[in-house]
Amino acid sequence: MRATLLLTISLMAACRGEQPRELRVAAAMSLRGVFTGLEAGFEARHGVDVVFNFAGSQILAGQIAEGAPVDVFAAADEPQMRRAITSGRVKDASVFAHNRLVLITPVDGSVSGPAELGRPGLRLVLAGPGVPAGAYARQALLELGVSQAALANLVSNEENVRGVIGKVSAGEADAGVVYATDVTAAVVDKLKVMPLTVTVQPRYEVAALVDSPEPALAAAFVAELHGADGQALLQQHGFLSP
Amino acid sequence: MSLRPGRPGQAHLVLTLLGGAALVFFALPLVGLVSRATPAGLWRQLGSPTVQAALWLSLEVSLVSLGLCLLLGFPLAFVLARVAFPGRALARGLVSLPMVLPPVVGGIALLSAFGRKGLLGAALAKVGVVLPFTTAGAVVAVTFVSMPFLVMTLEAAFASVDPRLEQAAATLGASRWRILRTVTLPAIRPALAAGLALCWARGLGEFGATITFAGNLEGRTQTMPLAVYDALQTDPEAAITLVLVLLAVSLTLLMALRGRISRR
Repeated sequence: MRATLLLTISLMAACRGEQPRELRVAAAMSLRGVFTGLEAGFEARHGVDVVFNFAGSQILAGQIAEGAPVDVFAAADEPQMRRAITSGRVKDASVFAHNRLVLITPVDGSVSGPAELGRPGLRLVLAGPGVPAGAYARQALLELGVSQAALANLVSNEENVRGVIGKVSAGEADAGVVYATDVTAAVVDKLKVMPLTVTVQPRYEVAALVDSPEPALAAAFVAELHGADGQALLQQHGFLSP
Repeated sequence: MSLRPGRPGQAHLVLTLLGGAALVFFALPLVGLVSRATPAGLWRQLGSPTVQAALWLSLEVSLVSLGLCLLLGFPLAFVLARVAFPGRALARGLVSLPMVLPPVVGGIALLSAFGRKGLLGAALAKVGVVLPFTTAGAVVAVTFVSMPFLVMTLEAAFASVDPRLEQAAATLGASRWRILRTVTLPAIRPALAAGLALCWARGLGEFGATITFAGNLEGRTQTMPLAVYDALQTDPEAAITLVLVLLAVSLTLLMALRGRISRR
């Protein structure tokens, strides 16, 4: 009995030594499509297992501040990256992409533009003010001059952009503001998409954490995003250059 | 406690140690929370309009929901325990489903039934009753996830009442309603207290179904758990204080509730 136990433990210990190195990337939810797109290539070239944690940037920044084990952080806005910098775990961050904001309505909706967002009885859904997408959306509404009227119709502050897409594509909400890149093939048939002509440009920053146990790999991942292939993939997914 | 000669109290000791460890497991997170809060911060949070709105909304939604659970769950538990109808096993399974479903999934299910394009929701919308994004919607979400706790506790209690007591009352000429009121109800009092407490506590802490079905808007649908989650993302200190406030309120009410109903 004891011999079996010892054998099992030593086998487990031996197996652990053969595991590939891990690179843990915490990235904004809106980067999910493009990051999973470059995962396979990066893993093959560097002999590493890339583990992603996709969530609202504000959640990730909080986790990083609490000491979560992360090697690379990609945030959807500067305030969340600043939180990571303030925590001391990030020193330098670089912008690697921009995005655009769009107004979405259900495909059978009757809203034809941002001016109608103040219509009485309309149900507007946005990401919460603490979420990058929600902050950008509010800036955009302010710039369009419809902020007060539209926010009077706000019925929910979603925790991330997917919540907004979900509620609008299901027809529960009449309008929402999301990133252009969030309108994926899976939902495009259920939505009417209207670009917003504003100067607000969501910007994405990436940084390798200073206490990462894999600094070379982390730096390589950051470089990949800035490199030609990474940029091409980003643009393929609808992102704009930095 | 031990029956083996020569080893007095060993089982007792082991059980006490393990039980003590379990108690520490529960107490440690609370102690951690308290250690992070400050009296000044706590007082400031209590004065914030967001916190007050969330607190009142939580109490309102959870208590209205508790009433609904009692109104609908009590008869359901009685029927499940006492009436043998075809498909009873399926009914029992259905009732316990919300306990097994992740709350967000419950919210999605509620949308498919009561949403604007839902099964019943579409018809309701035509007569002007819209549940998503309203306080009533929050009540529906909370009722959906917490009623099973009341129903299952009560069902077990109804089934365990000695039938001879009720039969005796019947032979003495009491009507069905009278039997229920004077024999059955007193017998299930402790279970009723436990069921109500569980149901209410579950409802107070509900998050996933509420945010998915009713949304998240201060003053209308942002109950305490939603407010805590919001605060956690931008101001962790505020979140801790909110949690402590919620804990204090629920603990007080829970203790008072259990004390009043199970007192004989």
